Amino acid sequence: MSDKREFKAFSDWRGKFVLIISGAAVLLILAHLYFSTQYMEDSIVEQFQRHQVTVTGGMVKGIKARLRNIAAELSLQLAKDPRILGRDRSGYAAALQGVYEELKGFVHGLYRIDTRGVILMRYPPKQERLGQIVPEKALLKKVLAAPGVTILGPFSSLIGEYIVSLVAPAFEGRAPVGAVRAVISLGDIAHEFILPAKVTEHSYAFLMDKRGLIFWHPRKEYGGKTLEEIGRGAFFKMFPWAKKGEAQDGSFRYKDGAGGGVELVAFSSIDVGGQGLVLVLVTPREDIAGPIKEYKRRNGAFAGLLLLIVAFVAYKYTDSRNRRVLLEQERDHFLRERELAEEVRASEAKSRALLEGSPVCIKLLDLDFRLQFMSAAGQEMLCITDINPFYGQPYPDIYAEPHRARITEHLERARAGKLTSLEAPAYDMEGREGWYHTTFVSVRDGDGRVEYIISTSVDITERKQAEEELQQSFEELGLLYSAGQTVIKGLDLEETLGFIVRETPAFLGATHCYVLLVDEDRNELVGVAATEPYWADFQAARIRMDERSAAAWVLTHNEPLVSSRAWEDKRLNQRLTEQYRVRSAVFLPLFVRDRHLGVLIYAHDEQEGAFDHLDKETLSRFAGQTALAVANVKLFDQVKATRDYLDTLIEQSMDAIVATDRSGKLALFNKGAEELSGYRRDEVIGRRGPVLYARQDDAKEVMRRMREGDGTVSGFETTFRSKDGSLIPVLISASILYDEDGQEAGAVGFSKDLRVRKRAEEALIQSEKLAALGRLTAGVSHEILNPLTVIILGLHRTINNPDTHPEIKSDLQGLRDQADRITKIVEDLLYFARYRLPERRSIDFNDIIKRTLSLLENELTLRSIAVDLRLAEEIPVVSADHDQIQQVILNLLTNARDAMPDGGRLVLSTEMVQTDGRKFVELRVEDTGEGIAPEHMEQLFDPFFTTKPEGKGTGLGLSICKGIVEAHEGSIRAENVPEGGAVFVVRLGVEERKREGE
Amino acid sequence: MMSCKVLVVDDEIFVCKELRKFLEDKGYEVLEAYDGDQAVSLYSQERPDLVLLDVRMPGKSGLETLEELKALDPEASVIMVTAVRDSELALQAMKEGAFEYITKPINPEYLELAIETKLTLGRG
Repeated sequence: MSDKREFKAFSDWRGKFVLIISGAAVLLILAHLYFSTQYMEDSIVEQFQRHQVTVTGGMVKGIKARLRNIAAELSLQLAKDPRILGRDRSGYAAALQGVYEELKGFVHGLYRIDTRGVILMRYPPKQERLGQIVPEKALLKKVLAAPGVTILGPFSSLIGEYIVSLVAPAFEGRAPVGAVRAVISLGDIAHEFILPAKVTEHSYAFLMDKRGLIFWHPRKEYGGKTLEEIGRGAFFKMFPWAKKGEAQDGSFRYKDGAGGGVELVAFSSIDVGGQGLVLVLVTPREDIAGPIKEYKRRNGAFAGLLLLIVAFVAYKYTDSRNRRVLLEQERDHFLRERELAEEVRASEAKSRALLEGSPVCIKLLDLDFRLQFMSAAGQEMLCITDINPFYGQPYPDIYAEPHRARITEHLERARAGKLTSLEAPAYDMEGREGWYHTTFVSVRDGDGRVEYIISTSVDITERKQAEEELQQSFEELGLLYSAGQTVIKGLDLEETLGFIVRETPAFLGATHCYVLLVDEDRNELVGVAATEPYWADFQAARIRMDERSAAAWVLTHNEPLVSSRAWEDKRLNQRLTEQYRVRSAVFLPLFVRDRHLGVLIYAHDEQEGAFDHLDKETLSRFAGQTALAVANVKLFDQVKATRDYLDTLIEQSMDAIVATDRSGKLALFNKGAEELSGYRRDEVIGRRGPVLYARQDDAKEVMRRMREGDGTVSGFETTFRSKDGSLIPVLISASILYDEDGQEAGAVGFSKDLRVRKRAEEALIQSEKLAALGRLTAGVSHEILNPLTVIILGLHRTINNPDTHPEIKSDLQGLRDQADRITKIVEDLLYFARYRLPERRSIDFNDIIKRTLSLLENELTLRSIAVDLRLAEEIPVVSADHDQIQQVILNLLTNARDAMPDGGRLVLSTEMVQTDGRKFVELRVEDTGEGIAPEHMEQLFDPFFTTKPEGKGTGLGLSICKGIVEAHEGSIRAENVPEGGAVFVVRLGVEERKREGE
Repeated sequence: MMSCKVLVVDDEIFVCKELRKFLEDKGYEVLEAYDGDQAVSLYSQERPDLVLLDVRMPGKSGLETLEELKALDPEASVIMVTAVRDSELALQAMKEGAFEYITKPINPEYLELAIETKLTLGRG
C-alpha cells in the first residue's frame, strides 16, 4: 500500500508537472497571441499615424511654398512691366498678356480690377467676366492699402472651381487705382502637392474648410454620387473634426460602423490668405488592415502549431495516466513504479522531442535566468551547433549588450508571475543581427510557487527591416520637407546657402557640401558656399561650363551623378577632385523651370561609395526643393531691389511729387514736396482739395486744362504757399490718372521750385546788363583814352617847356593831376563794367602769378622794386575764373608797387594750407612799404576807400579784389608785418582732384 | 650823338602829332604812320630805332603789324600801346617780340623811362 501511495505520490508529481507545463503552455500561447496581436496592431496604427502627420505637414509646407513662390514671381513680373500700372489703356492688354505668358502654367487668369472689385479686363480674354465682381471683394479694401502681393482665397463663385487669388494693388503715386489679380486653381496646386504624397497605396487627401465644406477632392465620386452631383461644395459631414483639425494638426482613428475597421485621418491646417483650410489625409482601413491581417495570420498559424504540440503532450499524458491505473490494479507497485517511471521518462523525452521539433524557439530558464533548455529551432535560429556549453549560462548574455538590462527587467517581471514580452535584437553565432519577439511566462508548482520561466521567441527580422525601411523613407520625406521649409523661410541668399552647407550634408551622409551658382554673363559656375572648414579653399572656385567637370555635366544633362570612387572616376575633373577633397560624391543639378541655377555637390572626404544607397528619385526631389528655395530667394532679392529702386526714385526726386486719389484726397507727398512746402507728409496726407496752391483758382485751372486737353498739363506757372506762409513760384506738370473705365482715379503733379531758376535768371539778367554796359564803356573809354593821351602829353610838354611861366606851370600841373584822375576812373569803370559771374575752370595758380608778374616786371625793375618769388612746387589745381584771379593779383601787385614809391622788396609766395578739414591755396603779397595804419584796417576793403593822394586811386581796387575772392568762396585779408610793410593774404579752395596730367 | 629815330604808329592823327611833339622835345627824330601797312613800308625804308605801335587800328591790327615788322627785322624794338589793359593781348605781344607795352592814356614819365631804357640798354 505504501508502495502504491509512494508511486501515486510520484505519479501525481509527474502528472502535476506535465499538467502545469501543458496548462502554462496553452496560457502562454493564448496570451502571446492576444498581447502580440494587440501590441502589433497598436504599433502599426501608430506608425501610420506618425507618417501621416509627417506627410500632411510636408504637403502644407509645399503648398504654401508654391503660393509664395508664385506671389514672388508675380511681383517681379508686375514690377518689370510699368504699363501694368500705367494709365495708357491701350497698353493694358499687352501688359497683362506679357505677365500671363511669364506665369503660364501657374496662373489660370490675370485680371485687372478696379478698387471696387469690378473686373475691367482679363487675360486670356473672356468677355463674360467683364463687369462682374470678384468674390474676394470684401477683402479688397485691406489688400489695396498694402503694397505688394497678397494671397487671398480660396473662393469658388467665379470660375466654378476653387481658386486662390493673388492680388497686387496698382498705385498711381500713393492712391490705389485698382489691382492686378492672378487666379490660381487650388486643384492645380493640389494635383502637384497632394496627389503625389502618399502614405499607403490607397491613401488620399482632400481639402475642406473649417465648416467641413469640401474644397478639393481627388475622388470623382463619393458615397455613390459623383462630386458634381452632390456639388463640390457639399459638407463633408462624416468628419465633425473639421474645427478641431483647424485648431491643431494631428491624426485620429476613425471607426466606421460599416467596415468595423480603423480608418486613419490626419489633419493639418493651411492658412491661405486668411481663409483657414484643413488638409485631410485619409488612410483607408484596407491599407492598414492588410499588414495587421498578415501579422495575425502568421501569429495564428504559430499559435495553432503550439496548441497542437500541447494537445499532443496532454494526450500522451492521459494515455500514461490510463496505464498507470492499470498498473495500480495489478498492484505490482515496484514494477509498476519502474515501468511507470520508464513511461514517464519516455513521455518526457517525447514531449522534449516534440519541443525540440517545434519551429518556434522555446526556452526553459531557471529562476536565476540560466538556460536549461532550448528547442532545436532556437538553436538553428541562433546557429548554435552545440547547445551544451550554453546550458547553465545566464540567458540575457545571448542578447547584445545594450539590451541585456531590458531582458533582465522582463525576466524579473516574469519571475514575479507576470506575462511579459519584448522585441529586441540578438546576434547569432555568426555575428548576424536578428530581431526577435520574445514572450516570457512563469511556471508554478502546485503550491503556486514559481518554478521555471518559459520563453518563446519568433524571428521578426524581416518585418523589422521592412519597418525600418519604411521609417527611413518617411524620415527622408520629412527631412526633405523640413529642409525645404527651412530654406524657404530665410529669404536672404547668404543665410539660405549657409543653411544648405551647414545642415543638409548630414541628411545625405556627406561630410561636406559645396554650392556653385551659374554666372550667366561669364558662362561659368562660381563657388558661393561650402561647409566649414572647406570654404576658405572653395571661395575662389570658378568652373567654366565648357570645362570637363562633373558639375558642368549634371547641369547640361539635368540629372544627378553619383561617383563612388571619385579619385579614379573618369567623369570627374581630377584636379578639382583632389583640390576639394572628394573621395566619393553626388552632384545635384539645381533647376527651376528650365533655368540652370547651379550645382550642389555633396562629398565624403574618407569613405568611398558613401552615396551609393541613395536612389535617383530621392536625390532629384532633394535637388528640386533646394533649387526652388534658392530661386525663391533670388527672386525676392530682385523684387526687393526693384521696389527699393522705384521708392528711391520718387523719394529722391528733386521735384515735389504730389498725388491725389479718386476722392481728391492727398495720397502721396514725397521728400521734395516736404522740402518745398515745409509741411511734413503726415500733416497733409489724407487732406482734401488743393493744399499747396496760393490761389485756389489756379488749382481749378490746372484741372480744367487737363480735362479739356489730353489729361495732362505741363509747364504751368503758379505760386504755392508754404507752411510758413511764404510764396513759392513753381512750375507744375500734372496728369490725371484714369482707371480702366476711363474714370478719373486721381491726379499726380510734379512741381519744380522756380526760385532756384528765378535767382539764376536774375543773375543772368544782371550779368547781361553789366556786359552791355561793359561793351558801351569799352567803346566809350577807347574814345576817351585817345583824347586823354593827347591832353596828358600836351600838358606834360608845356609844363616841361622852360619858356612856360612858372605860375602857368603850376596851374597846368593841377590840370595834369585831374587828367590822371580821369585815367584811373576810366580804368576802374572798365573793370566794373567787365564784372561778371566767375567762369570757373581748372587753373594753375602759380602760372597765373608768373604771367601777371611778367606784365609788371619791367615797371617794377624801373622803380627799383626787387621781386622775391617763393612759389610752392606742388600746388593743386584751383577751380576759378582765370581773368578775375589775374585781376586780383594785378591789383595787389599794383597796390604793393604804389606802397613802395622809393623802391623796396616785393615778396610773392604760395603754399598749401589746411583749416577745418578744407584745403586752400594761399597767396601772400608782401611789401616793404609803410604798412597800413591801424585805423584804416577795417575800411580797407570798402569801396571808394583810399589812402592814396587824390587822383592816384579810386578806392575800388581792393573792393574789387574782395568781391572776386568772395565770389570764389575764398577769403582775403590784410596784415602789417613786424618788419614794416603790409601783407595781403588770399585763400582759394582747392578742387578735390589731382592736377591735370597726373 | 646821332639822334634816334622813333616811328609812331596810331590811326588817330592827334595822338601822333602830340607824340611827335613830345618826342621831338626829347631830341628824337619822329616818323608817323597811320596804319599797319604804312608802318611796315616806312620801317623798311627808314629802319627806325624804336616803334610805338598802337594795338587797335583799322585794317591791319597792331599784332599783325608787329609780326610783319619782326619778320622784316628780328631786332626791331617795339613798344605796344593799348587803350585797354588787356593782359592776354599784352602777353601775346611780348611773345611776338615786343619790348614793352604801355596803356593809354600814355603816362609821359613812364614812356620816357621806357624809351630811354630801351635805347640805351637794348642797343648798347
